[in-house]
Amino acid sequence: MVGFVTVCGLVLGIIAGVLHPVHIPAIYSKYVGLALLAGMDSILGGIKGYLKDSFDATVFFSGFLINSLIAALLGYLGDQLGIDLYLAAVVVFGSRMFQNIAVIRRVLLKKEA
Amino acid sequence: MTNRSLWRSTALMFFAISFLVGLFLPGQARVVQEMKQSYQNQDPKDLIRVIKDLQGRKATLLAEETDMSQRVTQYLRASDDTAAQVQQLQREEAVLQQKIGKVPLEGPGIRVTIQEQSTGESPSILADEDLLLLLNDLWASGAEVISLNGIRLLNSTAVFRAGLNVRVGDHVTTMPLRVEAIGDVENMSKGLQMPGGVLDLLNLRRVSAIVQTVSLLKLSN
Repeated sequence: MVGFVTVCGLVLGIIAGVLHPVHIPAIYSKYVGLALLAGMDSILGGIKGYLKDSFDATVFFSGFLINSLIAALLGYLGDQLGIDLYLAAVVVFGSRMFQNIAVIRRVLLKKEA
Repeated sequence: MTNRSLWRSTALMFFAISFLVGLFLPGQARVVQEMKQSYQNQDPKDLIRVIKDLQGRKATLLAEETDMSQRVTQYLRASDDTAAQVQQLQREEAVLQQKIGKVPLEGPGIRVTIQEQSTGESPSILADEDLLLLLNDLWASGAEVISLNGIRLLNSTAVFRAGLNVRVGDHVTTMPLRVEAIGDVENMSKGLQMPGGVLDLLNLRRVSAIVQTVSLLKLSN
């Protein structure tokens, strides 16, 4: 049920974003992208925790905020230092998203069984 | 907090966060697309390819421009030629109109007044050949247009004596004969007055011929 709510929120958010686009300056687009990646990772992590009965709202919300912020800051810091630090965030969040999706899939398959 | 209210707050939190993420996704996608289309964020290899492509197009357009310029020049030349031809034809038309007596003319010329003595003991008569010699000398020495007693001579006008009168084409005129010619006055005078010329001949035949230079002769059509 949480997954349904999440998908609904995502779809409604996309529709709202298409109808009333949020202006993102081009120079910040890389950091916003990293923040969005971190946000999606947090959502998948939250769903996984909910399905495994280990969900904590505080952890979920703080994880979303801090991870997004840290990812963006990491990208900015990398740009200032001339290092592609944002790649680290992309790799970490990307692999975690795959892991979370895999866990969610397994839990759902077990529940079906 | 009951399970139901806990579930509600959890669902609300998931909804809010996913809504927030979804809200930013289209804007982010649009910015990325715009950045891909701008040259500042392109791959240098792609930019080099684009530059080469643009240089090729520029060369093609320059060749087209040169070709078009040549065509325009040709058209302009053709139009100039046409204008020149039209002017030449108009000049020829004016000359032809003068020759066929369609237009009145005026200009410097000479007037030759011929008086014969048809009465008395020894009359002198202007012969056909003398009159023709006079007219041909005038044509040859630069006359552009000639009239006999106000009758314009054309290329096909026949001039001959008819008894004591002179027939000029379809008209008949009487003596004395006033020959007026517009053209090169100096040449015409010299041509008539040269030794052994037509005036000497007329003098020999005792036909009076008085040559006058007129600054402005007017010959009607």
